[in-house]
Amino acid sequence: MAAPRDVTSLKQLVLGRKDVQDLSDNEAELPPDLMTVNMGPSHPAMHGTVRIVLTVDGERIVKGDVQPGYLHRCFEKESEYATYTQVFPYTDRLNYVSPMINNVGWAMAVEKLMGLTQLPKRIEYIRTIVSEMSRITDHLTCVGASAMELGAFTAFLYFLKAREWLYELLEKVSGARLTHSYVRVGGVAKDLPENFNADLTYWSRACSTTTRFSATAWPASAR
Amino acid sequence: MGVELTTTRLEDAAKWAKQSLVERASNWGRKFSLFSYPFVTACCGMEFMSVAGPKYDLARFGAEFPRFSPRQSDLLMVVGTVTEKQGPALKRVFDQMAEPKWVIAFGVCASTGGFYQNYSAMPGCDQVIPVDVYIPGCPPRPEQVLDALIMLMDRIQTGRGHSQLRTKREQLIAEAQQADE
Amino acid sequence: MSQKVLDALKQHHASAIELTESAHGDEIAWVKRDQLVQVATWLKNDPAMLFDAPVFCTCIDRLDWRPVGVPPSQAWNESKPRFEVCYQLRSQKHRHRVRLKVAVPEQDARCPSLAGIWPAFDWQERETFDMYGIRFDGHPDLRRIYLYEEFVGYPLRKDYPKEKRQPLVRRDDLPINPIKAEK
Repeated sequence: MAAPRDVTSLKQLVLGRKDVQDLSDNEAELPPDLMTVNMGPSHPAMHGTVRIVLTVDGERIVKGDVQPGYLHRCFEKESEYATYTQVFPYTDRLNYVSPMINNVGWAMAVEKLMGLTQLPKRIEYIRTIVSEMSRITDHLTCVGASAMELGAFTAFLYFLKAREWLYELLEKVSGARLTHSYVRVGGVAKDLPENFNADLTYWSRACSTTTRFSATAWPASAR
Repeated sequence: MGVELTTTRLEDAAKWAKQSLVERASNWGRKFSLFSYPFVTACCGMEFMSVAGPKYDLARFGAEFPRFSPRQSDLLMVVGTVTEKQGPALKRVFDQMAEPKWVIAFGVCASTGGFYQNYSAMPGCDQVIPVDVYIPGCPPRPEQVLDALIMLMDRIQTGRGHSQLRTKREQLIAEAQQADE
Repeated sequence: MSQKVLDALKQHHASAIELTESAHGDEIAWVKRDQLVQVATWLKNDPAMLFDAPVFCTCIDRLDWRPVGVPPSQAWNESKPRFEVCYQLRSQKHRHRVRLKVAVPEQDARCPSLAGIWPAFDWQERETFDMYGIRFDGHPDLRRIYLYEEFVGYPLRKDYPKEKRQPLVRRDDLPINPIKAEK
């Protein structure tokens, strides 16, 4: 079953197939045109908003034109009208899944420009600890959402449960669950709350138990 | 025409909201089985996930099931900042929904633009679509969201959502026209 | 930290380098616009340089830059070029960084594109074009990335007002519909 000449050259050019013999019988029969599909700005799998104009061959993506900009909130322009401390809320919303890290990044940039290199050790420790907590919430969200996209909804719920504990801890530290604005240039806004050490030890162990349990439950839930 | 239905205040509900038993029952069914379309754009999406999560459970209100097609949903939750570029997409999604439909503006960015006053962030999604309940907060606490959901359910029950009023208005206008003839 | 990069640049491309400086731990080399691609290719391929990781490409708009404390000779005036296109490069092998700056005047806001050398600069140059209006010669697909095609103007320029909206769509029954008001 020979496919027409122009289609073969299209496939050679675009898909990298060398020869008509490479095509299985199914593929030789099916319509060979590439399809353009729009994964529009509002799409459930995006968890956010981006537009991808896909050119697909069956399920295989041949070309993808990613069009971002649907969440362009003009941080740079707004920062021009704000003081250094007023930029911290904007940095929270850059990577809103792990806001502390962005705060620390901005603080470190300003300190570098100011020449403020020697910070108290306690500040460095506090910043690292809250950044790591934020990073863990980030991973919980991302891995959980990826699992949900594959069908493992239960794992997502377990990860969200673990994330809630960390959010509560971060709320004790900074006052807000998600957009903390906790870090300041040269330090942090306020000291850690009392009993933080015991709380963090307990809840991080709870998080790891929950994620380990849900990981063993994963094969069962991802059916 | 003499049919003024411009308000959603509870006090004015007595003027026109003589609900029949069927209407009451259908509104009860609607409010406890909301299929939401979470139009998630930004940080409020994290709190939306928390609301749908195990601690602040959305399932106990019957609204847990996100329908990822506007054709199949009746509650549009605009979660996060809407930019000018996103405007036509939002309008299209809203237009594709079938009546009755309700809109929640989740978060202060979707309500009024939040602290983004610039050339790209739309000052609230109500520039493009009519909104029933606004939830302030950046991001709002899940308890606030649940409070707003209960408020919306109140509206649905008494028939005061924008789309319900619109349908009612059209119905009453049609009846008045018939009565004239 | 990467002073040797600047020294090597001055040695090999003395005619292309206008100025080198070192500030806050970063090494900066001002390159002439027409020799940018040459310098960049050399930076990528030379075994002592091996800049294979592009970091960012952006632009600085110096319009009316006269801050307090900066002497008038360094502050901006109309005779100086308005834009500075910055490319930050990093070498993963040698672990050094360098920033190339190109002075671009306002009337002739063009700059050669480095997207052919480092593909990651493709989108970054599109962003710089979208925000500042700098056209990159030789860019494969120069179009707006963050804003929509109907947008007029370049927002991150200092003379674009922050709150000047150009709405694409508005409700018909809004009390003040800016789209209808304009028509």
